Amino acid sequence: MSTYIERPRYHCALGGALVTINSIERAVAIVHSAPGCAASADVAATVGSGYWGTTVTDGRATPSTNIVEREVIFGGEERLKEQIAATLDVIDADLYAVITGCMTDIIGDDVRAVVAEFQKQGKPVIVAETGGFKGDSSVGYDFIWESIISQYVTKGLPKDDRLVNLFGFVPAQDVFWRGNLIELKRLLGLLGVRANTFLTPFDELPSLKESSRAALNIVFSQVHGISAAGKFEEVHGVPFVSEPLPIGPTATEAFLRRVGEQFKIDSALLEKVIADEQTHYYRFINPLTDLVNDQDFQRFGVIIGNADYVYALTRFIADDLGWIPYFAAITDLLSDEDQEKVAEHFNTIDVSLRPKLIFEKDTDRITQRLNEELEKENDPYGTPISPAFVIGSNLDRPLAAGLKAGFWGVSFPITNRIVTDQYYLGFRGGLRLATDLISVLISNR
Amino acid sequence: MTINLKSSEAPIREQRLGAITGYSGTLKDLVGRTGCGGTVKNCDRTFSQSSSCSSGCAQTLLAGIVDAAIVNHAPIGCAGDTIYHNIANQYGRFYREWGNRNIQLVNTNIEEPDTVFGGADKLREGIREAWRRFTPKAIFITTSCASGIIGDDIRGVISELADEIPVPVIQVSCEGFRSKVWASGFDAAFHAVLTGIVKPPREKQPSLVNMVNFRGSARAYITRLFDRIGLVPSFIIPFSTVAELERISEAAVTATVCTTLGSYIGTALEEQYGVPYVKTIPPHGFAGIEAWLRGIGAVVGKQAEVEELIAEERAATEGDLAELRRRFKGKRAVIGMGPSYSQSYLGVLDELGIEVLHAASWHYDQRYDYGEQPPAILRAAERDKDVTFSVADQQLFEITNTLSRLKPDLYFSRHPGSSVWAAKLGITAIPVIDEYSAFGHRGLVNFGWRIADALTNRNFVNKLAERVKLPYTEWWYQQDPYTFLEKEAV
Repeated sequence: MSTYIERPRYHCALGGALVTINSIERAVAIVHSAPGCAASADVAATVGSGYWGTTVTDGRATPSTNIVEREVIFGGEERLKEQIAATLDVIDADLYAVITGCMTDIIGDDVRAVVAEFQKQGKPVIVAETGGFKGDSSVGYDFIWESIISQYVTKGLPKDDRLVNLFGFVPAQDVFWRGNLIELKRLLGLLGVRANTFLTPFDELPSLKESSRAALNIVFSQVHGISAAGKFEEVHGVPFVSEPLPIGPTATEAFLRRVGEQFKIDSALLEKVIADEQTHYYRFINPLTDLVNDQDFQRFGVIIGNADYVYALTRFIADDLGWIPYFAAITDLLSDEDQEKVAEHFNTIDVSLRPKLIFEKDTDRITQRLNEELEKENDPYGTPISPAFVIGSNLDRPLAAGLKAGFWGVSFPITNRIVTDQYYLGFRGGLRLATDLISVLISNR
Repeated sequence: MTINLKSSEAPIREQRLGAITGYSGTLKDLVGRTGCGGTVKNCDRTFSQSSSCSSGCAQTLLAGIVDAAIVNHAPIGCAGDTIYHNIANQYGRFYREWGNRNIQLVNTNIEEPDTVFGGADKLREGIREAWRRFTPKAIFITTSCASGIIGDDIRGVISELADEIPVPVIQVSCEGFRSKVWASGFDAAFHAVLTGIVKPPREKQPSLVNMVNFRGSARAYITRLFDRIGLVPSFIIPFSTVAELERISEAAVTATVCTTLGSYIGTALEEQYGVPYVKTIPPHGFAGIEAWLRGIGAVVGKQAEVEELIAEERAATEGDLAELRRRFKGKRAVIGMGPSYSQSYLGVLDELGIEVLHAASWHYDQRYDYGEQPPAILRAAERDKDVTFSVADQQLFEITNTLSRLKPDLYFSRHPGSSVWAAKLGITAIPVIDEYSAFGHRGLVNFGWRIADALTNRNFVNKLAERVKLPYTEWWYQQDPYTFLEKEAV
């Protein structure tokens, strides 16, 4: 069980479910909770994700029962029923997702029974119990997906052997989820595999409704979205694989080769796609060599963020950028079992480039743990990792300043720049990331 | 009605001030029926959208105290919006040239087992950690729905730690489910400061003004104005220190830019320590600043200096105001703001010559803590022309419906998340996020030019509106905006 956290880097289960629904076109959440929950969750997600901004209803226009003390005492089921009925009239959507907050889950409203009434009338209403105390945004992502998968997605459709569903991207929590999904869809498309991404502004609800046609689910995480994919397999018989986030040419080539094998892609096509994308990366990186070399832009890497990004970023700076990963802090709330899984994954990195890995969700304690590591270094100059570079969230700027290190925000929250269609996945995402990181080093010129 | 600083928490506004979040009618009707001890009953809604949480309002004030820390006794999500508070903090520090630093907040991460077995242990550890980590001058424990329903004995934990933690540790009762009026969270924060921080006066400071505000952007302007009448402002609560807050009982006067914000602390300081609270309309526009400065001047005996100052400020800005009024001729607007601003801006827009078609107020306090109706609404109701008036805790479906019917040129809003819908309807939206917009004579003129600029190029909103569909059904646009508001029993 976890204890206190200084300035959490995620929202609660309700927040994760809310932003997932808000990312799905023509879906709307009906929040059964206290007056401020949806607005608070929304502001955290839409500000912290590089100003994602308003979605269809955004947080403050999200239908919400706004229950108060009276309902805590007498129960909130009647209020919810009235709210759902009114929402169906007022809000123009094709999927209505009832999600609950701490209060309703503690007082034990039978929300499933209330929603079942509407489902019986054929209304597209689903429900998930997402009380905030049940976990973080990623947990909420899994909860709402389990409900979508079992209550909304059509059962019994024939399979399409060139169709995959992509999971593991918690909107806002992965600040780049939109761009990342769009790029993955493009890459897979080059191999003749169609991908359902669900959470970009260009996805339409029918692709979700009929997602049970997919031959495979790919979860781009070892820990988030796994239980949703498990539910998918159980309900619709679609198996899943877990893939690390492919950032940069080395990781993405490996990813495409695994996809090629899985889908028996013609090897000539596979080689051509990989070669073309490699070419794109290197024809831009190649001319930067003199800058990077002459200025000695190799850095010691300090990487802070969620399990998926920290691993992928470590890999990228080690495998492609030629930096030295020194310290990696994973900030998710993870079970011991998940921590072990993630740690094992890090053990696949060659020991000479494997960073010290910690699991720490608390911002200042990350600094403390890093300082402890630095004190152990036997360095006569007192600067064992100079020059360093911190890839983290906006909360890690003071840490970077303390190290006199370069800083770039990749993980939530990012509040000092706008993120729209940027992405860091794939060959081109790796190019973008290299561009951003090196730009920091010359930004004072 | 007297504020009870012996009590562990401030009663919510619904109980204390007769605050309502549901009403539809006219300004004169509301003022008439809530005068002379009359009250209107709150109307509930059978459809509602999210509003805001008291805990966010409490934390936005308290997280700004530079040497205090917050222990947010809540599931992690309740600390989510501190991202926003941190942005406000970092901006504020940047402009004050204080260097980058995060707000000092620890969340106790209430999880499922704690809802069964209680969260007292986590709270205890959280307080210890906040002390160890920040060595703050005070620690505020903000509560949540979860901690409230579990029934954790927060006072018990605080008294257990009394010997261990040598600074005030103060409970802030801001559970979101207690009140639909998010401003109850401001009162919870002020109550905590008044009961846990403020000390009895050692000696009066005859030039000190407690300036109750949010972010303090107009510090230089106010300092200059006050200097002319021999006063020195202390801007509270954000960006003040615990030591400064300890001494607010010694001030000559308390003034505020927002009467919704200032009512509790202003009244309490007056009742408890005899610090006069300026109860005029807020200092927006000519009429606002003049009434406000006269109110301050009367307390400190500087009437003549105030009149001289007013005459100067007027002379410096009258020409611009006349030009702005000429430009705004025929322009029509809707207002949607918190009560103090909604009422105050009726006056501001009058001065600019902009016609108000409808005003919405995010809640309405039928009377303030000192027992009187809000002064700005009384002033607005004295105008010949009545205006339709609604009270809603930022129910945007009502606003969107109203805007699409009235098609105003301008929508003036306060609070994030409201102006965006007007913009998407192609209406020029003027969000009043900075509490000092339209402050004083010069602020009014600046604000006027900002509106003029916004009206000069409307391409962004016009093109946006052509391409965006709002989430409402066609059916909804054909309904009365208050279809889901319970009818008042007559």
